[in-house]
Amino acid sequence: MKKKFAKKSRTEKSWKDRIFDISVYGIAILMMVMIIYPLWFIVIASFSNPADIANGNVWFWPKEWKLDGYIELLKQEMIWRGYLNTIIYTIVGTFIALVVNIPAGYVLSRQDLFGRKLISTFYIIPMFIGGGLIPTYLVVKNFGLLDTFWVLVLPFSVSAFNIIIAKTFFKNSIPESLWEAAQIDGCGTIRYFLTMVLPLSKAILAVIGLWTAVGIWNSWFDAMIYISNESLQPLQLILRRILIANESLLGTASGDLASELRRLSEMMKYAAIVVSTLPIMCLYPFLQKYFNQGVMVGSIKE
Amino acid sequence: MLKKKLGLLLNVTLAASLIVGCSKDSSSSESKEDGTYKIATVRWSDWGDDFLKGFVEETEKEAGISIDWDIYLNSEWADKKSILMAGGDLPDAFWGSLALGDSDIAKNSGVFIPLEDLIEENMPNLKAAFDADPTLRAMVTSPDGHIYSLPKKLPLRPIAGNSLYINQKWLDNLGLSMPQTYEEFYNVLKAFKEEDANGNGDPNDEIAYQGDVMGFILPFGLPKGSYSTSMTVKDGKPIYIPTEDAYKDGIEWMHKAYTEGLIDQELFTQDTSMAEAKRKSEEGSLVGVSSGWTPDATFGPNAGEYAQIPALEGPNGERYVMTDAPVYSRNEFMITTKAENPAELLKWVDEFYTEDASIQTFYGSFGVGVEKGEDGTYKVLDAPEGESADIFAWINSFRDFGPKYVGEGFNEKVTLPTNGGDGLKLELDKQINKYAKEQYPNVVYTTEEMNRLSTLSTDIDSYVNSMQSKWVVEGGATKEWDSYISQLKQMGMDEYLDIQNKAFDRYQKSLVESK
Repeated sequence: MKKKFAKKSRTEKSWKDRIFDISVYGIAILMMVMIIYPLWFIVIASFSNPADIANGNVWFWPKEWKLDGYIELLKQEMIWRGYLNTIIYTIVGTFIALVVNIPAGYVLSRQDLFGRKLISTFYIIPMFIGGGLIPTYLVVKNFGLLDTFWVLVLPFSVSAFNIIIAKTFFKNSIPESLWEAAQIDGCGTIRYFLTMVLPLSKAILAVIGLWTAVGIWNSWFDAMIYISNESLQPLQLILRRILIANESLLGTASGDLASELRRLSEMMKYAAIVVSTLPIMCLYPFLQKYFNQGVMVGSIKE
Repeated sequence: MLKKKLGLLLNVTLAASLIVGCSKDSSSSESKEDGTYKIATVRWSDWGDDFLKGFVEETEKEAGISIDWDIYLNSEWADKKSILMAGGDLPDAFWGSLALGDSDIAKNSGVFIPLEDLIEENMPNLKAAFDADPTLRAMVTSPDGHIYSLPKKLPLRPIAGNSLYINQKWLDNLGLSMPQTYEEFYNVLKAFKEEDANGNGDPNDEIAYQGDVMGFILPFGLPKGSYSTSMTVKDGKPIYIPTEDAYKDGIEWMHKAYTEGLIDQELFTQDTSMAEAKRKSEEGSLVGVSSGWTPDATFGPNAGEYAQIPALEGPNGERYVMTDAPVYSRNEFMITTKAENPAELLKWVDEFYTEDASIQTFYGSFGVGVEKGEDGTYKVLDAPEGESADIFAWINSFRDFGPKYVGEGFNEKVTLPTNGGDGLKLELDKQINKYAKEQYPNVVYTTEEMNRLSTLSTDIDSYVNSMQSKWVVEGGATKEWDSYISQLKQMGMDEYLDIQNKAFDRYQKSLVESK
């Protein structure tokens, strides 16, 4: 953020201005607390004794520092395998998503594409009307993708929503005249796209890339449905398995099984949240600069 | 610049995908050799596959078949079930009642084959069990006369279910004796509440009672069974608990206790983990009485201070206990239309209906979880240091699920550690199980009945529950009783009871026929 408030000397500030300033800062601070506190709570909860949390004794600082949650969690050998898988899925999946969605968005933004409206509509329909789980499952199965690495990065990589976002971006920020100028210089569409449009579109690459990456990082449902091979499972699915305490267990013949499973999951719950969200949260600062960067500054004279 | 970066990224991802791509497991290939069957089973949690080793492996070898087990986790099963049923990926059989309930089987009625003739021809052990124990047959016989699933009868189950546990140390601190009647019990709770029962100098930090409502009002004479949450049997007739006068009186009694602060004031507002944190408080006990399976399951680190309360004498001089031990159940083994040779499968499953098999599939194979003596007795082995007996048994056996049968008197042949788990529960059970009454049986509904019941009970149950907590907290059970009954009638209670009665009569009839 490079905005600066215009500086006025103290004397000129009327009391109305001050009240205004104070309330603006007050509201801003309040909103910041509302956003930061839940994150903070999870961090301190992960270092606390679960009993203290249940009793409501922990709200700003752990009553006693405990690493049990982390120790118990990192004892699970599947975690590391899941971590590696998730990182690979995220990198490959994001790359594939960018490769399929960005060019599609660009092509649809071009005025001279024949049947543009029709193709756009064709893309948009499945955005609102899905096929449902079982037909999708059958399609994936018949493609022979069940239980393979590719099932998590290929079939669901096309996103109509992202294509429309990209299309709008290209339409609004890459002027037609730039293409005309490039054509005069003897540049073809592909070269123009790769050497001129993409460098000017870092913002949209960052936005779509981050969305996709976070989406893949956090997803577990597809993996649960399509993958049964343990060595291919992503981190989130493994965590879910560790953490879901079966409330329905209470009805079983052995009453202490439920409380034993619950005890373990209570202990690891917050540590698992920290462990699984930290890496993806670290991505954001690196991409943030692209989000509010002026595009095309002084690159063209109309 | 970007191009270079992209190129680099491309190389990295390609390399990564190659590594991953090559490690593809070949076990998912769907080749079907002769004598290979695919069986799906569901587990509470991911405890590996040791439970399929030892005894189970041996029976497969003996029968000359090999089983390809598909293990699903309960938390993911609901989603995967629909895919399996609709996607045409059916296994040859399902193992264990955790996999499919009555309604799943009714919904997919074309998928499962009737077994009664095949049982006659191929299952001598199960037939003998049917003859010895008519309940077993009555329970698996569907209203259309067919048998679609195989039953189990578990060994070493208690007769009584959850019971009340009281803090013996608090009793001693205050010089009180163990309560025997519901009024004495009330006075003990009052003492817990008003005096410094745990001796920490603060007379106000004790929670006298934190347990379920039905456990508190049990002396009024409404014992719950394990197969129905709201039906019970009185003088051989099925009755609906929440409309009984005894229920109303019990709730009024509990309301009185609640207003005097003898009941945890957050009983209806806290979640399980909050309640559990109070019972398992590491800074000494906070709770006087709670209901549960065993003290260690209920009170964790404070378990040593608690003793079981005897069945309390109620207003009419009778004593009751919860009969909450699901010894019998159905849907333990179903064969689908996919199976090429069901007779061969059933021949193999029949091996699980012996006593040797039942104890091994309940605690673990001989040498792992159980030892068999020369004289035909069994010894259940201790779990390794630091592991709970229950979890150890789950890791090494099918435990509660799958075909099992033990005859009368089997439990006497078994010795098991009494410091926790099943052994402890059986010891506690001996103190109170003589008061167990007949419980509502595991009746079989037709598909239409099942659909109607689920529609009706959605409304009825939530209304009953909300009124129950309202009356305990605010009172008014007697005053609002008539409008409560008429509201229930509007919700279709008569139809609900009619269905239950029909199913109950049908069950009794098939019980007589099986004899």
